[in-house]
Amino acid sequence: MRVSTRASRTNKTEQFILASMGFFWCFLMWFASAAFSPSIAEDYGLSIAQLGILASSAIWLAPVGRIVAGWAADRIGAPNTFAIILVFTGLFSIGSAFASSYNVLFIMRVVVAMAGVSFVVGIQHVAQWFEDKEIGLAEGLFAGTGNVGAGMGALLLPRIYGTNYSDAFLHLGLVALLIGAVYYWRGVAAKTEQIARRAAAVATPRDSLFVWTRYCAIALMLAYAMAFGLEIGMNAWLPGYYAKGFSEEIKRLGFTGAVSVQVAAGTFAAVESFNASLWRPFSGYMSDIWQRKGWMPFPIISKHLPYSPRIHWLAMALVLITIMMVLLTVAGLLGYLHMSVLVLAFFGIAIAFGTGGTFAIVPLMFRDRPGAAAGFIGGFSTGGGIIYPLVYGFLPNIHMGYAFVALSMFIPIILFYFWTMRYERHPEEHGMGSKEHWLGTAA
Amino acid sequence: MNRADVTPGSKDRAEEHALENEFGSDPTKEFGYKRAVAAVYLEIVIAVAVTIFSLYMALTGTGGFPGK
Repeated sequence: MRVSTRASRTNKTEQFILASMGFFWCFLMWFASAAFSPSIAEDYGLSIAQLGILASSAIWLAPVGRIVAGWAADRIGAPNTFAIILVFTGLFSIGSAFASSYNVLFIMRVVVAMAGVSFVVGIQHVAQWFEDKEIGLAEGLFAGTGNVGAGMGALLLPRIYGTNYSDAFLHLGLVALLIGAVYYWRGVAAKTEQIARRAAAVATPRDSLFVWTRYCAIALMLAYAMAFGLEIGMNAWLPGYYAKGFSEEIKRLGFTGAVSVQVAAGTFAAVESFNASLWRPFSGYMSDIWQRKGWMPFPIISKHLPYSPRIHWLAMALVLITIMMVLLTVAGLLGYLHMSVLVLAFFGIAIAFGTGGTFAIVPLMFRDRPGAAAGFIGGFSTGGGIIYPLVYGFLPNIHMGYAFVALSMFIPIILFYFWTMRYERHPEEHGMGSKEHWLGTAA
Repeated sequence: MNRADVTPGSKDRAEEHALENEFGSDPTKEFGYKRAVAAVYLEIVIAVAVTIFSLYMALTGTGGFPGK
């Protein structure tokens, strides 16, 4: 059925709900292994190192998977791509419920973790339906709702299923198949036939390379690595940081013994995760407000693009993230636990400003290639989640890592961001190689 | 057709959307947009509550299991 015929039978709210519901469930499946990792470890007698590998395996396929998914969303439409992801990962989730050995279970859960690539598909789907003025809030709410799936999984799955993770994986997979069918039935790729065709027409390897070599795409990818990459890196790092970096302070509060310290450290660390997820829609909303009010406080950055205020809003977020990183180090060196937790709250908010701010720009800057751009920016940036904890761990003082990363990595990224966003017309055309070089002359 | 003609941000597209922004309906007055903004504030309330709970734990050592 043609997009134009199907589009007349739906509306943007239904498409938004489909995308958000699908992404929420994918996130739930993505982190379901983590929620049951103690039970899995006990059943199979896993070592701490094996547990670490199981935890990190959740993002192994994200960079490449997101790039492919973004391209597919442009090429065959987000509903088809989303349905394929839900059915594929749902079947493997069902299969993992019947795994006969840990190796089989591990491989199947790595495949299920591919559900996380659906982020870029949903971003593309929402972008094809919402108008410029509301794109920030729409993308922010979509992403924020999905991210809540991770927290909900950690909170509810062990309470509902106890240690019976096999039943959980089975039920999660069955519901994924159902959502996949509904998405395929009710989903429409774009608001108009013209928009859908435009995205499909340019979904080629040459077009993807064109996007990857644009300076502003690289700057947005690095900005997202400063925000989302940092968020997932900190999710893994912070519980251990508080347990070790503030061990004396936590003991003085009365939390003694491994379990008590783990719960206390986890509670402090959750401040960053909750704020980073839950403030994300607000960031999109703020991006919309800056756009409507025309706020552009920064020098150098363009002031004449149709979406210039959104670029300034993201610049503000990047500066705030850098400041908060330095303050985290200061709080740690002073040994003030309460100051560290308070800074961590603002740090989470700054991260949310960065994640929400980035994807309020991407669909507007790469209007005809939203999937390819979202795949590149959302994919490569997850590498930050691996790099930052490694850097923190290699420094002699556990508190120094934040300031070190802020000064040695984030300030150069911000300077690069300012430099690439200075063009007053078509910033997406500036990059390595000309537009003609990548796109040629014939379609 | 020259492939460069369909490059994102081409002049026609930019102008087309500038016009959409200028003369299109204001989504902020739609009922759905207002509900979305309400959802945003609800999420913020939850985030602030979690932060206050954690700060309370950090300051007093109580309020959370298995504290004092």
